[in-house]
Amino acid sequence: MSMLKYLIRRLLFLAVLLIGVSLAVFFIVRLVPANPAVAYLGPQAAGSPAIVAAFEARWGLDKPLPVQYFIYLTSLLRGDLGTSIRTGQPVLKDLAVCFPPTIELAVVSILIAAVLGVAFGVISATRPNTLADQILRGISVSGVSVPSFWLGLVFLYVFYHLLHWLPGPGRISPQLNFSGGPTRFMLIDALLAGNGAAFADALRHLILPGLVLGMFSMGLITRTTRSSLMDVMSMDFIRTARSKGLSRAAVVSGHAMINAASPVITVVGMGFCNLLGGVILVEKIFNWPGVGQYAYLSATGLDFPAITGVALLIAAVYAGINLVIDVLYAAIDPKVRY
Amino acid sequence: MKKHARILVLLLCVFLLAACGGGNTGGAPAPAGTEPADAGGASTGAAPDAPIVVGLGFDVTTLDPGHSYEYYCSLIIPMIYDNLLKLAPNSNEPQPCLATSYTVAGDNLTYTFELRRDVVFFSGNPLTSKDVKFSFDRMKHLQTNSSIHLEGVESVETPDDYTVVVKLSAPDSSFTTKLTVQTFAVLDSAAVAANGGLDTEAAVSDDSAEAYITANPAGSGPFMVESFTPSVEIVLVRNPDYWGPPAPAERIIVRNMSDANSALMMLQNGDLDVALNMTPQQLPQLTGSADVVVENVPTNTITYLLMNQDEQYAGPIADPDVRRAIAYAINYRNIHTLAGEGAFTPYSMVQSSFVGYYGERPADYTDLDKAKELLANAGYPDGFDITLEVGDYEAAGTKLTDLAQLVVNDLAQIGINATISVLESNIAVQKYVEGKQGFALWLWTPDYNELNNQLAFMPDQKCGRYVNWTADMSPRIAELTTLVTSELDTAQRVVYAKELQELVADGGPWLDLCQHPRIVAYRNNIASVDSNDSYHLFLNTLTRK
Repeated sequence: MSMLKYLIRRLLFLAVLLIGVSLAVFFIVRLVPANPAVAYLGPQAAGSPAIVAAFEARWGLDKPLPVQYFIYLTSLLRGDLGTSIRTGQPVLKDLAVCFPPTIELAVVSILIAAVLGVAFGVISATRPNTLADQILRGISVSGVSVPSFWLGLVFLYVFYHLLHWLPGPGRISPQLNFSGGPTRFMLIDALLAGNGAAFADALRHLILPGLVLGMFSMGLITRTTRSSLMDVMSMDFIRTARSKGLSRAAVVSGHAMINAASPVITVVGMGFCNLLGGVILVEKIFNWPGVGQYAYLSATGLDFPAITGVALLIAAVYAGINLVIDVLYAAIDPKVRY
Repeated sequence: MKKHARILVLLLCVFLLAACGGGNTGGAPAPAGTEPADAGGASTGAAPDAPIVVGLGFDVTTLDPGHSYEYYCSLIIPMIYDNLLKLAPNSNEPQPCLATSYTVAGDNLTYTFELRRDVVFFSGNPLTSKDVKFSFDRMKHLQTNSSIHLEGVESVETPDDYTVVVKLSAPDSSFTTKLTVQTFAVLDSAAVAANGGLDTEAAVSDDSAEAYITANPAGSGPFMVESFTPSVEIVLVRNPDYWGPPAPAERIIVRNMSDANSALMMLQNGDLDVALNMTPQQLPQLTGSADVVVENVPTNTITYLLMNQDEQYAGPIADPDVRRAIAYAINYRNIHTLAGEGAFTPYSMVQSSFVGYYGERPADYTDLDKAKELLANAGYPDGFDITLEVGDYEAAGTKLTDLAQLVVNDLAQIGINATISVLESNIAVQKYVEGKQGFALWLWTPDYNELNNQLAFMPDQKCGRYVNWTADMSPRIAELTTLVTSELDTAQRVVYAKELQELVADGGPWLDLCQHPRIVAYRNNIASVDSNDSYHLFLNTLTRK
């Protein structure tokens, strides 16, 4: 019961947070000393007062700021994120198109990162200061330090251009004549359409960008797993379990990991959040039409409704995943009660 | 857990390797006749009926000509829609399209067009004169970016189903060229009006047809749209009922390629057929690639220095002698090297492909002694300090900030100590439009490719106002501007235009630095790659050999 109350409290807080974000973004974005009318109309059309006035009237930019915010907030409470100045489409529709590709990529990346990261972390922690440990720590440091866009270009050059092992930028090969479906998740749409070739092709296109993005998160997960597990392994109850005759593998998998899990879950969750926020440089290199690209185009285009929409989305994602992490804590750790 | 983790990792590796197996990119069965992938970069989809893939910075977000102003809209819109007149490869002269012929009445204000009778829109509706009137009236009343081209159009009449009479408010020698631009695309009026389109003055606030038109283009052009994702990709398919010569390509995919390095790799591997976003720095890699053809094509994009007429903003730069000194100080050869092979400097603000082009400023125009002398005469024997503002733009692949650095180096040679101030592009435009920039570096891409578009730089015109240049400051230039606009006799226009350019170049507020070339790179099994500065590329001539 208290979990339910806790959840309700958190969700209410989320709603308040989102309103706060909308207010902050609304005003910060208007601090830029440039008029979107001029940005969109271009220098020639901006010289025509009638056209500028028409633009400002169309987008409600001629009203006083508090009125503009009030109009925006009331639409927001009805679930309407406004219309993008750049695309002319409802912002919600734009997000429904650009968010799934980012989710797809983020899920694949975090899976790779989590599996490899935890595995490496466990190996490192159970063999501290051996050669294996040094190598894996080196890999994790490089994963965190190497710029993702550089890594992306190198991977593309090696695995796509030289070796032809993996496909190039994009979500799917144009020759397949398949450009997705209703959900905008290429994998799901391919399954729905029964198009096995498209499914395999989309999966192969996910590997390189997934690896590139996964490298960074993997580094963090490895380090966190290693230090957390080492902490736990030094505790009394582990020594007791070993002295009772359990093998090291049984101790690690049965007793240690679950106690070491909390920080790892945090890092995996936050890593996932970062990926969902959109990684513009990797998206650029791999032609991935995700949130990063949308956010960049909206920001540089002074597209107020779109900028606010993206900010709200990312805030909701962060808050939501934090909530999931907190619930997981309670699930795995009996000491945590809300 | 360790054992399980290791098993999991092993399984993941096996899975990855299994997915990799098969060599060729794209899991589709290789079309007959495709060579297996090898280090030379054999192309997939080399079968003659494979779609042609074109890569560029795809910024198109709408398929409604009434709302299209992005750079590559002029690549797509002319392929989906037709105009009264259109451009054709290798010619700057507007060619008959929906209009088979036209006449201009004696007062040079009335244009009468005869329409084709065999044109059918995608919806099946036949083209009549009311479609032309609806499209032009709607464009005018929408009051969007492109509506400025209709400011000179006073009325559009339709005496019968196949005749259109356009009346201008003042003679305009560039009107027929303007007609070839996407602004004047002819839409299926019945379909658009039935879905929220308006051609009355209420269009500015009440026209709601954009979403419909983007989802169902109301055109009659050589291509139809199979799918369109804004800023991502458009898939064009040949229009089987097109009235004109059918496009050789059955299917063309125009894809967003925002990174030039990735695009280069895809071009070399054969996953991209035509790349329009290559930069001059990639030229060595491009020319060294097997199976890739590289062309340097001229564009009408120019970069220039802006020098405000108002001393309050420009300081010493408002002085014509200082400006003449700057013109002598610039090292034009370095600029050409930066911009790439094929770059040159027009003498004034008119590009080489326009009627009335004055000619080049010779690359050896640079004369530091003369520059210093002029500067001393103006009262600055020791030079002065000034800020050079530049927006974070690129002109055909060349960064303006790099260009600004060259300018600063050149000015330092004569004692002018310039500091670069890089402004975010929207802020730069804002300042520019407010007329507050004293000394700045800009680029310009014409809205329509005709001499008259360049007159925006003249006193009291759009850009002239942004440097606070009024007609009374330069009465002869203002007079010549009107003469060039209204004179329909080409030979006489050229005379006026040349005098105009001489006057502007001599201490005026603009100094043209460079006319930029563009790189077009494509696979050697693609033919008829016809570039054009208005339409970028004629998609309706692309052929896979």
